[in-house]
Amino acid sequence: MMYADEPIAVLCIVLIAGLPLALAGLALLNTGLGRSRSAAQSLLGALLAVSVSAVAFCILGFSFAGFQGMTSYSMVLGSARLDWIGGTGLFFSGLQWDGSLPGYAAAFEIFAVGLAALIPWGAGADRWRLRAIGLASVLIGGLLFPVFTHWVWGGGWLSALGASFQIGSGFLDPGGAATVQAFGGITALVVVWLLGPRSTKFSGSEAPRAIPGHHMIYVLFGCMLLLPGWLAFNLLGATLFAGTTPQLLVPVAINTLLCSAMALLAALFITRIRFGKPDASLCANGWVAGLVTSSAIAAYASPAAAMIAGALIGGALPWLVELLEVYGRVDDPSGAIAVHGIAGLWGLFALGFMGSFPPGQMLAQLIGIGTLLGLVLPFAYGCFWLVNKVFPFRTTPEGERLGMDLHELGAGAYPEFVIYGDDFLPR
Amino acid sequence: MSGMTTLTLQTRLAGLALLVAGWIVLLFSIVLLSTPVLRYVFVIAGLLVELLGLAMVGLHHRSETGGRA
Repeated sequence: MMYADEPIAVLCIVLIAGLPLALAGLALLNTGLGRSRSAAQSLLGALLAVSVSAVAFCILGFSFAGFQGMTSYSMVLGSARLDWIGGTGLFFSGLQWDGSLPGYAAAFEIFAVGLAALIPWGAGADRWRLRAIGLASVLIGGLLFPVFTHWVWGGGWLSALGASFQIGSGFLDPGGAATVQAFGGITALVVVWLLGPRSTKFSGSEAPRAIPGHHMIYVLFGCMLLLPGWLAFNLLGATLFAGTTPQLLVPVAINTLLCSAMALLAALFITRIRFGKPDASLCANGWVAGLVTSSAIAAYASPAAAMIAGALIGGALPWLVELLEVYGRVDDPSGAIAVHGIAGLWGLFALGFMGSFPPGQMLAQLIGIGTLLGLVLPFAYGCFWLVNKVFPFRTTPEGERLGMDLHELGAGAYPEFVIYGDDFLPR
Repeated sequence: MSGMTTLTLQTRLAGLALLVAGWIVLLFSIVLLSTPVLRYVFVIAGLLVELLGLAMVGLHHRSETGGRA
């Protein structure tokens, strides 16, 4: 078993304490991009998603996720052996809290699963029931996230592509661009498909109707909170899963900031040109997309490469959001599919061009991307479709009209607000 | 109308099947092939099959929201 020496142990504990800032930032961002009449339900749902996914991960999830060197099960395919699933005990019982790396990885992953569960919650805002997010979080924390995490972080077959098949250094994802971000974006797409759009989004015309976020202060302050949270994710991920020493963590932090900064500037520039003024919500989405991209590349990229990767995703983001909304007829209030899903996949792809890896690193990254799309997406779709059949995800039309706060909680987040602009739109 | 519903349901199922089929192409390409170029070709082919499947599922859900399928 690998052990962390004392400076690394202290560093890990400090960074673990910073992880909840990312959860708080994303919860605020999701709430601000939704409607005022669903604000309290949105934040309560965020707490519920984090709580349920953490409990599910503790009870069952970590036994599937495991860590390199712990018990796992393999599948033989031809002459190859693919490490498929972890097999440690329930309730973290396979862990020794003695300073060994699996303990820190478990702490990292229990926060990461909360972040992964928050991503689809933002996409299903204003129409997704609390009960449904609770059930979805059980699935995410107990099954979907841990199994995929084992493949990437737990010594599973994707991470072992280099050793088993001589494909680069295996699939690399130190900061969670695949396990948290792209995974979350994919589950967000599934949820949005199953829920359908908000009732006024596509009513009355072929073109979608803009439903602006109700509180830009929440959105932009959420972005600020995300930065320290993301630094903690990227630095801890690099330490645990890329073996980065404390001295080499400085460029990881710098790359994280540069990538998100360039993404924000590119989104600001593009929206300024297209709409005459910068669009605050798209700029915020650009910032987050840069952070998401940095999750994949920050540990390996040069500062210049991080800036280019960030600028490309930030510049593309306004078009990606529009493409999904207009042509895909996808109603995603938080932009999670583009911001977490596409930006996560972009970061994983871009990593194939960076660093000094053995030949075939791009192939390893493509296999990881293909696994997310070809296995995780249909599996998540099947699981969520089944749950949706038994416990419908979507609220009633009356619930949506009243707002999720009044309908599910019995009281509004802002009792003094009485007028909702879209109450008067045709349905 | 029921014919259209059946068609779109079939589109969704076919799309999901294509997603999995693309992944199987990708998995077997790394297990059965050893030449890097061949592996690249089959992995990219698998990804293209997956994208086709994704587009078909998206088309089904687009038609459900009232958009043109």
